[in-house]
This record gives sequence, C-alpha cells and structure tokens, in this order.
Amino acid sequence: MAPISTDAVIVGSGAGGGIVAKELASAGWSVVLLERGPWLQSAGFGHVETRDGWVTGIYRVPFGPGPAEIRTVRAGESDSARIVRPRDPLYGTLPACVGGGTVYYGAMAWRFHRETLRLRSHFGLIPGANLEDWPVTYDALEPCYEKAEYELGVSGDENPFGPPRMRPLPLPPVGENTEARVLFPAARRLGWKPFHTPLAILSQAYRGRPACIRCAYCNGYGCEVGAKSSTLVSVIPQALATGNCRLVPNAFVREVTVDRSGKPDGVLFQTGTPGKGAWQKLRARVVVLCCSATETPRLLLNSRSRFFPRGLGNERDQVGRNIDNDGGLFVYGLFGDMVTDQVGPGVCFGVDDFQFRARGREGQSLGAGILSNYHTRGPLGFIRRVHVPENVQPFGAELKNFYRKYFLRSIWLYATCHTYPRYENRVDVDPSVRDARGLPVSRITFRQHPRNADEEQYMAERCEELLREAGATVVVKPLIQRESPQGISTHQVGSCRMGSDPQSSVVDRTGRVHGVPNVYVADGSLLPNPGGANPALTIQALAYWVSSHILRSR
Amino acid sequence: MPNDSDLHEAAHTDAPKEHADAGKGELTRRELIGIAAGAIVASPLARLEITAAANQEQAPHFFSREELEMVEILTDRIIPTDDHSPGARAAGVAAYIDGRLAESWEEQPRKVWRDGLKRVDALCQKMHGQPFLKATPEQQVAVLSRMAQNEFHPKSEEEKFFAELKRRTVTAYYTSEIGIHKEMEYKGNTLLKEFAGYEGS
Repeated sequence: MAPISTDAVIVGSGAGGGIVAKELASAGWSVVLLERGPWLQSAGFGHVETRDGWVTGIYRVPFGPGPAEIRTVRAGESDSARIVRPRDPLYGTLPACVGGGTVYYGAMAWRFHRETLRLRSHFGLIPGANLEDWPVTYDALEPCYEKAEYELGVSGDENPFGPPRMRPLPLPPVGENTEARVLFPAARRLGWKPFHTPLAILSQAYRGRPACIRCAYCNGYGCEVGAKSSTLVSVIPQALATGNCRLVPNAFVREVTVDRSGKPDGVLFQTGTPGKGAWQKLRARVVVLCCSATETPRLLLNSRSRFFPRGLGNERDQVGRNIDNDGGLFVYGLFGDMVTDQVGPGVCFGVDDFQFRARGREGQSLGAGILSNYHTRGPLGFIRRVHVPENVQPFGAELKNFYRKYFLRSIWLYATCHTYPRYENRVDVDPSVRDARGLPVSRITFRQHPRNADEEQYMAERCEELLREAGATVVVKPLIQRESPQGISTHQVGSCRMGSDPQSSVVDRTGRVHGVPNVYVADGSLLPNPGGANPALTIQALAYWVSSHILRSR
Repeated sequence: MPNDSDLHEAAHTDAPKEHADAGKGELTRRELIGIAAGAIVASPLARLEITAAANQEQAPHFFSREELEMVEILTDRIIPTDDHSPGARAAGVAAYIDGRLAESWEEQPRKVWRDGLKRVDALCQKMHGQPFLKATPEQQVAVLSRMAQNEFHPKSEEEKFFAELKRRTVTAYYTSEIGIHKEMEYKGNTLLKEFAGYEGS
C-alpha cells in the first residue's frame, strides 16, 4: 500500500498545532494533524473533582497520558535518573488529547512584555543563566498576538502596564466574584492598578460559541459548554471545516523520516495500543512539530539516520537545552468573613505593577511577574495547601471544623515569576529506558537557577502585602527553596530555542530547524525563555508567526 | 500550574485501576482501552459516579479484615461525625484507601501501610497492654495523640505514619460526596442556571 501523502503533517494538536493546522488548511494546503491522545467532545466534560479533574481525577481519563508513558528525571548530569510517571510532580505532565493543554488550562491569556523578548539586553550577563534576546521583537509579534486574541476569543481589561497594542481585546471581562470585591479596593489602597485579567474564556457569545456559565472549573477541567477557547473548540473545527485537514487521534509519532538525499519526507506513526499496531509512513512536504517542550526534543532526538546520527537538528548538541518554565507560587490568607463564593471564572483580579520595575533586597533588577486570584479551588485543594495552626488539634472535630470554617474564609493568590534558563537544563532521550513501544523516553535534567528564588521571594511578599491589606488574619507563604530541582511544569518552554545563530539555538526566527529545509517547530519549545506570566498566548502568537513563514516557503 | 507539587503529590503514587472486576461505577480495563483507542468519546464517563462510598460494602482488596477495621477507626477519629455531617467511616474512606493501595503501580505505599498499622498495634500494646482493636475508644485516641505529637516535624516511624494516614484520610474524605457536599457545602459541582453577564467594577 502506498503511503498517504500530504502537503504538511502537524504532530500534536495543542496550543500551537491547532493553530498551524487551521492556518495551513485555510490557505488550501492538505494537512494531516496527528494527535497522540483521544478526540473528546465538550459535552462529555464534567465537574466532579474526583472524576473529571486533571490534577485530582482518579482515573486520568479522559486526559492522559496514561501511566505507561514514563520519563526519567534527574537534577544534574552526575545524578542517576529515576523513572517517573505522569502523576509525579517532576514529570512535567501535559494532557494528551485533541486540544492538548488548552483543553484543561486556566486560560490566562497574557501578552509577554517587550523586555521578556530581550532579557539579555535587559539584564546583561548573569552567571549561570543562558539569556539571549529573541530573534523576533515584540513589535513584530504584535499582530500575531492580536490575531490569536481575536480568533480564539479573549476577554478582559486593558492591562495598564501591558505592552502596546493596536486593538483592544475583542471581549469585555467575564465578571467578578466575591474575591475580586475584596481584592480590588485593597490593591488600590496600596497604590496598585488592578484590572480584570485577560482570559481565553468567552464573556459573550462569540463566533458561534456560547458565553461562560461561571462554574469556576476552568483549570484542570474541560469546559462542557465550549466557552473556554481551547484549540479543540476554536481553531481545530475551523481547520476541519475547510475540508483540507484530516485529524487523526490516538496517533503516536516515533520519528521524522528522511529520503535518500537526507531531506525529511514525512513521519512514522502508530495508532491504537502502544506497541501493538504497525508503524505507518505518512509522506509530507513539510513537517511541523507541536508536541510540547518535553516531547518535541524527544521526537527530534529519536529521528536518527546516517544523515543525522545525533538526531534531527542536533548537530551542535542544542536540542532540548535551556528547558525552563516560569516560577509559580501560591500564597493564601485566612479571613474572619466569607470572602469567596465559588463563582467562576475564579481568576478575575490581576496585577501587573511589578514586571521589570521591581528591585530585590540587594538592589538588583528583577523581572518579577503577575499576580492574580485563583480558579478552581475545590475543597481538597484548599485542605492540602492550608497549614493548620498549631493551636488546632491535629485530628478530630476541631480539625474538621477548621477546614469547614476557612474554606470560604480564605483567598489564594497566585504569582507567576520570571526565571533564568540554564544551559545545563535539558530534555534528551534516556540511553537505557524505553517505553512500551520500545522507544527511548524523555530524560529531564533540571535545577532552578539560584536567582529564581529572589523573584519568587519578591512576589510572595507582594501577595502577603495584598492579603494583609485586604484583612487577612493569617497569611501563609510557601517555602522558597534556592536551586530547587522542582520544575518543568505545564508551562514548559525553551527546549528548541529560536535564534539567529545555529551554534546556540535549534530553530531560526521563522521556526524552521537550522540546516533542515522543511521541518518546523511551533510549540512552547521555541520560546528562548519563560515570561513573568502564563505562556499559552505567546506560544499561540508564535504559532501564527511560524505558520505565516511556512506559507511563504512554498 | 507550575510547582503545584502538593496537589500532584496527593495522588502521584496512584494510578488508573486495572482490575477487570472493578466495583460499581468504576471503569473496567476494557472501557479504559476503548477510550484510549478513541472508540468512544467521553460521554459514558458523564454517567459514572466514582465516590469513596461506592466501595463500601465490598471485601477489602489489599487490607486484611482486621487492618481494614483499624483503618476505619483511625480515619473516623481524624474526621469524625459531628452535628454538621457524617465522618470518615460513613464516607467509606477506609475502603477507598484500600482500593487505591491495591491499584498502586508501586509496592512502596502498600509496605508503608502494612508496616504502619503493625506499628500502631505495637504502640497500643506498649501503652495499654493490648492490641488496637481491643483497646477502649479513649485508649485509641491516646495512641493517635501520641502519633500526632510532632506533626510538623515527625521523627519516629509512628509519627511519620500519622502524616501518611492523615494525608490519605483527608484526600479520600474531601473528595467523597459526603465530604464535598454535606460537609463543605461545596457548590462548584453544580451548573449555574444562567450567565450573570458582565458586571464591571
């Protein structure tokens, strides 16, 4: 049987892949979109914390990846790596399903600040940190941000400290809950400028999709009405409606193949139970990798041939390096009064007064980050985070009463912080551990840069300041650990860095792998560094950017 | 959700159930594979109600009958029935812990519990001269108090086991129907009837 042939194969249907599929299919290209996970429908998503929650759900169905999808982790090259499964906090788990992370994410839709795209120029040389200016400026990316906001559907206020924009957001904010009514006045008393956070959640019916029902189950859950602007319900249906895009769920790609001259000519993929089906060849003129910052490097490194003995695009040993994610921390306050009403979407209060304006204790310039209230605070999440004061009995009626009383008398703040990528941090493939298909698995080597703790400390103090101003009687901050091996969250970025110099990057400024004419990356791997805010919208702006360059390559 | 390790940690030793004889309201292996293969979409899930209570009347999967009874008593002392709502025993917490341990991919959690319960018995023997199940309710509370005395800086094995016991107990209780709805009066699991519209500030 002759292999299927297509203009472009896109591997991964998450934040980036869905957009590339829609852009290429709309331009008349024949596209095959391969997704390793299942294709779920919004109507099947639900609200039961134990069943549907991506984090707390018992079965991890329908959000995969399954427990057989192992990885290995270590904190440094001299450590031995240990096997982890998707539930392990060090795994760096992103869901495997059509729409990927955007199905379950909290949908914060921040634009990165101008400075975030030129950290090397802003901070200068920082020992141990591998900072580079991006090969694309904010101004060049601005139209792509706008396109993402309008095509996906983003609601919110104008960020008073945000980077310049040509058009306002397409939709007004979704609305407030009790937390916002406590936090807005307190932040203003501190002289801050709070605003309603940008969310990829519809506040009004938009482009055939309904408005948010305000259930507060955004982060960690699929949206059953389709008001959350995941690629599953926004751009992917548009791609399919062109008639030019074929979506294949449950399709795992093992490698990018090359022809006799060494030019990539497609992929090998398998459908069904891992290790059971036959490997099928899909021939394509262009290959676009959108598998996430932990799986795209694995796919490149597993694509070995006599032309690419170290893996595709890895002649200079750069694939997988510099992997990083933004810092994130929770601070919560206990109050005498009811301060939360469980109305969604939880995140409706944001502050961006601090990015690139803050100074640390030794006067050093900080990137800092954004601060917001938090969504999806189920009972278990609260109880597992709250530190019960020592004067409360550790078990029994007193403990039970404490949990009940403070569940609705508490506010969590969440801060996202800038971090400093390290060259030594890396995803590569484990030399000895293989998955059920017999393929080498991702190996994550990660340790935080010591300066990350300064950023987190600063933001934790701002959260505490606000909670105290709002009337919290008890404020609990996290323990901030310097050079922690904790990392590689869902906000994973940077492992196939964009850059002009092939010596220090994997792809060029158009997203094309250096030295390869027809393989592109369009996911979080591209970002040379995280920002002080959630990365999804920037990944999606870059997906539009890369798509426009792919279309020009024809 | 970066560095949200405590929530991940809440469940990371647990994995999807693989028993074909899973109890009422639980996915069978066949259904899991069906979903993984994309043969059906998520709609069957919407009809399932997976709660701790679903396991209540079954024989234990991992614990012995005696161990299960010990866990029933210990968990119900941690989250007791009060005038607001039923406690851990009514919520089926022990059976839930039993099920999670039985299906764990790793051997370690099972060892921690088997050894931990032996230590509880030994501690009770030392303090009151009889095994835990034979002790009076006051004596049982005294054993638990001893185990909990250094909760934030546990040193002995009994103290470390208390942290594990409490962690699993609250995880099970506050994800059960009794824990979420009756005790916490949580409204998040219900739909709003209409969109309240844009309010502004």
